[in-house]
Amino acid sequence: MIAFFLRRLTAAILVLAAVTFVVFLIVYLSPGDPVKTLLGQSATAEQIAGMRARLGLDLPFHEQYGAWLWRVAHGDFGRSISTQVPAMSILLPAFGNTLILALSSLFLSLLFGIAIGVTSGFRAGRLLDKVLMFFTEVLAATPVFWLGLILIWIFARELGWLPSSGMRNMRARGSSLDLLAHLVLPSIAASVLAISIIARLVRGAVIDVLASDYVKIAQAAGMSSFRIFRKQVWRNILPPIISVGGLQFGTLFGGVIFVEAVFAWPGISAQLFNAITAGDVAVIQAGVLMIAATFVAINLVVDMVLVWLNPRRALS
Amino acid sequence: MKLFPTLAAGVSLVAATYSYAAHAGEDDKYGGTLVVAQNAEITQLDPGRQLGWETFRITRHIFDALVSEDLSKSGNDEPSPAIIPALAESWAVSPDGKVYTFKLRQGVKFHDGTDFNAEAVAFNIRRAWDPSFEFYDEVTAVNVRNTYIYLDKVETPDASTVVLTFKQPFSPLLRLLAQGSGGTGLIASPESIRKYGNDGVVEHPTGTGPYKFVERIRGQSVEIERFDDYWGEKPYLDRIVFRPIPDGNARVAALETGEVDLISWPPRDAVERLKGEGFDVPNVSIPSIYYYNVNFANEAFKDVRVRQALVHAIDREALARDLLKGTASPGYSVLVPGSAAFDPAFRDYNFDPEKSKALLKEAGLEKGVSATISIYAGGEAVAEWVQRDAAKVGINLNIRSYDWNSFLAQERTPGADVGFSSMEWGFLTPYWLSIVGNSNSGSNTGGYKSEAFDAAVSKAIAATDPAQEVANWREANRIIAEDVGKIPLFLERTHYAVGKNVRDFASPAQAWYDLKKVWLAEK
Repeated sequence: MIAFFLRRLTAAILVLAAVTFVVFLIVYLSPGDPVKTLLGQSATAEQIAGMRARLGLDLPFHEQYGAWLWRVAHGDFGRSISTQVPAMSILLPAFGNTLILALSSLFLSLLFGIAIGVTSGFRAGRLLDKVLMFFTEVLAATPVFWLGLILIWIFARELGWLPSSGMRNMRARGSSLDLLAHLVLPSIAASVLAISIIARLVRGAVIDVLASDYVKIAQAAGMSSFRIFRKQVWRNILPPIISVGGLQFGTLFGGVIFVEAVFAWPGISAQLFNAITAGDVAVIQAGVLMIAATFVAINLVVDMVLVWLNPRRALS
Repeated sequence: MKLFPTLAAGVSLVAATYSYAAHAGEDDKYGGTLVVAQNAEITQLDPGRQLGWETFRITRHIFDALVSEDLSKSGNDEPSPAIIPALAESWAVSPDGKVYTFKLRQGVKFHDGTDFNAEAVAFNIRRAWDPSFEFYDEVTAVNVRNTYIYLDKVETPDASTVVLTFKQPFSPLLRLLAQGSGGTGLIASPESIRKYGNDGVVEHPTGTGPYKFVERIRGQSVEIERFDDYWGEKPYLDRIVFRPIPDGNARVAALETGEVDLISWPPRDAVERLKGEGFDVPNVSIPSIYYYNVNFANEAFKDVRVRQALVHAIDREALARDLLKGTASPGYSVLVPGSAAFDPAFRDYNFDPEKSKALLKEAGLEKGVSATISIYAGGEAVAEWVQRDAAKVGINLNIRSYDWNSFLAQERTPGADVGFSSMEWGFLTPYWLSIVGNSNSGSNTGGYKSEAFDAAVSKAIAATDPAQEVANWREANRIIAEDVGKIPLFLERTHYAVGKNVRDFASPAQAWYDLKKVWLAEK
């Protein structure tokens, strides 16, 4: 298992290195210039050129990338050019906020995805199953930003039950209840697609397990549905739930961009958007690296859990 | 005899009641938190490095400059905000227009408790202007270049006097000192710059303004609270929180639910609905214009008649009324409203498609002429409007749209096929004409060059008589308009939507506002 872990870890680091290279190249080749954002409209061409030289932005690609890699290896992610503060001081708090939203969406996705999937699986082919599957189909096809606006319209504007945007009430010092209230609508908007995917997957797994001989024997022996679920089905549908849950978490992390925009959630996507529109390479690099690292870390954890559940997988 | 004391007592009782009521009303205004939703994340809370209106709307409450502008009235009532004393109680300009002497306000404290004095003023100016100064900041120097471009020396004969001597008469100075982004004369505590360094001020903005900085959470909020030792009148609000909500619909929703009290840039489509719901959406123009730079490297439009033909072809009144739904007014000059030099009756060229065709024919282009308009995202609808109008007279325009950053990257060096490029900008001071059109200005995109214009601008800058100054600026404006050095299109008018709980918010004739006199009906 340790050898397996080390093998996967090495692969993960190589993937991250490749990601940073590609992103750096894209930013290098794209036409934007962070110095113009920093100096504004009044700057002359000489002033812009001078500042570019001082910031090392006129160096060839390999020197810029090499210097960046060297600093990152020493834990220095550099300064934002357009805002003059360390890249991490912009990104870390935003990353934390995105993590909160993604975790809460993952929780909703698993809760409703599994509940709907198991119910549908046990009732496969019947009316309830059809209704639930139709419902998840519609949700999966709903654009997230549109759903977000609809949720805001109904629950914030018309009913006034929940806040429409942000992460806390700006008039009072936010309690954890305040944070929860702000989390509800964006989490729902972010989780609908994942709910639908997980529900379908779980339904399929439940149907497969229910069709297997050992369940049929248990049914023939008169075991109740609940006991069958708990003793036979649950353990067998767990591995696909974990792999898809892990995958969905990564997708949620990348996919909350729209949700964060619609709900003005102060997450990493807004900061990355600012950085990209300003061509701010240090922040773009560090931000993309964070997202990629999260993806890779989740995959690693999922793989490890799956191996732990079924040690034979380590051999394959 | 007896009547008088009774009457007197009665009168004084009424007077006392009245004054109590008035006084209580005044007291009732104090307190509460105003939440403002801005349309973008702000840049830097450093007086020298801040760029952008949304940033200056915050910093001008944290910092003061030597002079300020009276922004307490709506721009519809007061089209040209007066320059008023701030950190300088008074000032005098020498007869030759070269020497400005400022008498400073006494007993003013910075938010960190240090004293404001002449040294602090000199410190901030040298930070922006003197390369030999220990705390010289290059970014600041670039940003405020237009303000100190002719400055020769800074002197502080005593702790309450600052003397600025210019190499030539420089009439725009006072107005520039009160401006944000590109002109700012805001003054930070020298102690804070020494302590945190040029790069650290941005996280520790320390001024003398009515509000002091509490915290900034990027992507989430900037919070300021009332500074109790403020030199001026005590502002009503306890705290002001500015939050970025870049999505227009989300901004409107936050206003409608009462989560925020004031929003910038209500989307055009939402203006009528908001008004219907009882929100105030002031309709006021500010000194900023949406215009097209003319690229003088483009052969087809080098002939002034062809440029005039294009302007004659565009129905700017209908553009503002129909396409922009009355949220803008047509722009007929590069010179923007707000200054004494602005003439609301001035028209560059009328909408006259027949005249366009005649001019094109005169130029030998009756078969048509074509060029590209290069725009940044958001200007598509306006560009299509211009394209449609121009096509009617035989001017074929292609539209090339960029994201903002890519746009800036190519703006100064477009291909010769590009005839026009979009921009929205402006300053209240007519010196703006020089910034945007002078042949020696770095911001003169497109390379308009006219000796007559440059001469008129130089005369205006050096004018010592206000009437002469106005006449010279108007002359410069007339020249650039006749030459079609730029193509003015429209002025935005709906900059804010105001919540129902907010009282006495004025949308002034300036790109920023003053929240000192704003109060909340319910705290």
